[in-house]
Amino acid sequence: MRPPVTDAEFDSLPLIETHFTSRTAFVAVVVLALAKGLVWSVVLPPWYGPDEPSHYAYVQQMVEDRRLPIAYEANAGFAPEILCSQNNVDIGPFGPFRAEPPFGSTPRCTASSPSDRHATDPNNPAGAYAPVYYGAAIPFYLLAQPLSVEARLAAVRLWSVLLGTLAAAFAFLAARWAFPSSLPLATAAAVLFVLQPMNSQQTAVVNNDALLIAAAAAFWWRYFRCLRKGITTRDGFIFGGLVGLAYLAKPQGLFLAAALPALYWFAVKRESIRTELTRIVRLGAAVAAPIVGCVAIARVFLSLGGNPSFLPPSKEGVHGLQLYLMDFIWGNYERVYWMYVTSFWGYFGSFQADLPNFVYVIITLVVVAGVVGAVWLLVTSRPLRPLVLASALGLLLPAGLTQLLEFYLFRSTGSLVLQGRSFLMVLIPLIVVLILGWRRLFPTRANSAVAAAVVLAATALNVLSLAVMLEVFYG
Amino acid sequence: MKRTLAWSAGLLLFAAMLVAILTTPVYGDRGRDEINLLSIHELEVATGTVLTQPVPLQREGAYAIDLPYRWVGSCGRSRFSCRSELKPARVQARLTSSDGAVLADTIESLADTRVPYWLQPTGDGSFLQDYGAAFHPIRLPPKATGTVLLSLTRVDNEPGPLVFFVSDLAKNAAGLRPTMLESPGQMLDLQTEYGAPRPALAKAAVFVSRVQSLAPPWLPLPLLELLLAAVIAIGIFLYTRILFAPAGEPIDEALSPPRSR
Repeated sequence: MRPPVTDAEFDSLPLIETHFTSRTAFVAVVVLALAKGLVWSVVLPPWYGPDEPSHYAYVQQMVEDRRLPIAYEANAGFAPEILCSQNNVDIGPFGPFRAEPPFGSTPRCTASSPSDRHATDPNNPAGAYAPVYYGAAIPFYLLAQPLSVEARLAAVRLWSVLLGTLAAAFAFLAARWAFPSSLPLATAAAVLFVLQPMNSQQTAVVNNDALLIAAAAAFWWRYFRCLRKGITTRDGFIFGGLVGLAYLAKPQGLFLAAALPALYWFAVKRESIRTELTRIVRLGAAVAAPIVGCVAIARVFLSLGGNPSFLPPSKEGVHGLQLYLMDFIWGNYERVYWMYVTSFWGYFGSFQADLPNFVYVIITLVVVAGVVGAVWLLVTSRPLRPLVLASALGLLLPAGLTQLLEFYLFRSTGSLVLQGRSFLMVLIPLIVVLILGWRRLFPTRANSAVAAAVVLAATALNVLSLAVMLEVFYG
Repeated sequence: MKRTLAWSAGLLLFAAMLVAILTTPVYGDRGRDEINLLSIHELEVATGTVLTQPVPLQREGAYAIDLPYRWVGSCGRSRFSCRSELKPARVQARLTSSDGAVLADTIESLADTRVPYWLQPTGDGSFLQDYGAAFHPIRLPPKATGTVLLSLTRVDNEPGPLVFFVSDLAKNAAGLRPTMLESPGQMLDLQTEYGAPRPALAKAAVFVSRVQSLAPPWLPLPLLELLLAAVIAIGIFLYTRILFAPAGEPIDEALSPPRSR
C-alpha cells in the first residue's frame, strides 16, 4: 500500500502538470514572436517606423522603377502616392517628427494614377544600404502589388515580422547555449528578447534593422554555442557569413566581428605558440573570406546604384573629440539617458510615444541591479567568470565601435546620429549578462522565480507599450 | 505552496497593471493638427498680460481646452535650485462665443510643473521634455460650439515668468489656423478635448475602430485583437510553466574546459 503523503511532499506537489520541455518553450517563443510582431505591425501607424518612408520607397523603387536608389539626398523623390499617404497621417514636408496624432482613416488626398507609383527622382536617404533586405522584401510587395500603397507597406512590414520571428528562434537557441542547464532561464532570456519594446518596433516596421537583428541573433547563437563546444574552421566560416550578412543589412553589422577575439580567448584551449598561430590564421581566413565577399557584393551594389560610399565623407578637425563629448553629455547627461534608457527600451514611432517616466526609472534600476549582480559574479564566481566576461565583451566591443562610428560621422557633420535602437544587435549578450546578474542576487533555488518574473515583467512592458501607442496614436 | 503563492502574487500584479491601464481616464477624443510642433516656442507671460486666441472646436461634445504651460516661479528649471513650496500661478480664463456671449469666466490655478527628481534623473529624454510643459484643462460649457474666443489674463503676483507656448504662422504648413489677436503672426498652442474623461476601457471601441481603419485587409476585426490576447496568454502560459518547472535542477552554467580543434 502506498504510504500517505507527508506535508512536505504535499507542499512540493505541482499545481499543474509540468511537462515543460525545450520544444514546448521553443514553439511558444516563436508563436509569441509572430503574434506580437503582427500586432505591432498594425498598431504602429503607417510610415511611423523610423525612416520608414525611405526604406519602403527603396523596395517600391526597385519594383516599379527597376533601379537602385541613389543615396544622401532629400526625401523629395518619393513616389507621389507615398507622399500622399504620408500626408493622410499628418506627415508633411517636415517629416514625421513634427506630426501630431491622433490618427485614423482621414484621407485628405488620393493618388491612384499608375504614374503615382514611380519615384520622381532616384534619390533616397536609404540608398546607401545594400539591397539585401529590400530585395528579399520584393515578394511581399508583389503579393500586395494590386492593392493600395498602405496595404503594400503593410505587406512589406510582414518581411520584418518574419525576420523578427526568425531572430526569436535564434535568440532561444542562443539562450539555450548560454544557460544549458536551465530551461527556465533560457526561456526567460528569449522572451525578454522577443518582448523588448524597441526590438518589437524595429521588427514590425519596414527597416533594415530587422535584418540586422536577425543576423545578429544567429551570430549570438553560434557565439554561445562555440563557447561550450569550441570553435572550428567551419564555425569561423559561418561567423564570417553572418557578419557579412549583418554588414549587408547595415554597415555597423561589421562590428559584430569585434566580439570574435573574445570568443576565441574563452572557447579555445591554449596550445603551443606555433599551433596557436596556425589556428588563428586558419580561423581568421575562414572568418574573413565571407566578410570580404560580402563587402565586395556591397561595393558592386553601390556602384550599380551610382553611390560613392556607405558613409558620407568625414573631415577631420571640423568637429573634434572634445566637442563630441560635450554634446554627448550635454544637458545633465540627458542624451546619455535618452540613448541608453529611453530610446533603447521604448520610445515609439518618430518619438511621439514614450513610456511613463517611472517605467524608465524602474528599467534603469533593474538593469543596474543586473549589472551589479554580474560584476559580483565576476568577482566571486571563478567557474562562471568566463561566461560573464565573454557575454560582457560580446556586448561592449561591438557597442563601443558603434559609438566610435558616431564620432567618425560627427567630425564632419556635427550631428549625433545614434539612437537606442542602434544597439539592438547586442541585445542578446546584454540579456545574458543581466540574467546572470539577476540570478546572482537571489538564492539558487529562486532560479525559476527569477525566470518567471522576467517573463511576466517583459509581457507587462510590452502590453504597456502597446497601450501607450494606442492612446498617443489613436486617442 | 510557496510557488502557488508566488504565482498568484505575480498574476495579481499583472492584473493590477492591466486594470490600471484600462481604467486610466482618457478624453473621448482629441482635436487634430492643433499644436504645431515645427515652430513651437516659449512665450513668457508677465502679470497683467492678456492673450486672446480664437479656438475652432472641431466637433460636438467639446469638453475642455488643454493649455500647455510651464510654471516654476522664480525657482529656475533646476530641481535642485529651489526646494520651497511654490504657490500656483493664476490665470483668468474668459470664453466667449462668436456672437460675443460670455460662456465662462473662471480663475484657473496653474500648479508647479517641476517633476520630482527621481522621475527624471537627467530629464525623461522625450522630445519635448526640454520645455518641461504640463497641460491644464480649461473646462468648456456644454453649449460651446463653433469657434470660441479664449482670453487669458495672468492675475497672480508671484515672482517669475509663467510660460505658455506659441507657434509661428509663417511656418505653419496649413496656414489656416487662427492666430492670437495680440500677435497676428503667432498661434497660442492649445489642444481641444472632446467628451468627459472616462476609463480607457470605455473608449476601446474608438481605439479598435481607428486601428482597424489603418489595418491591412488581411487582419480584419477581430483577428488583431485575438493576436493581442494570444500574446498575453502565451506570456502567462510561459510564466506559469516556468514557475512550476521541476525544481532541484543543478544550475551549473560554468563553461566546460574548451575543446581544442
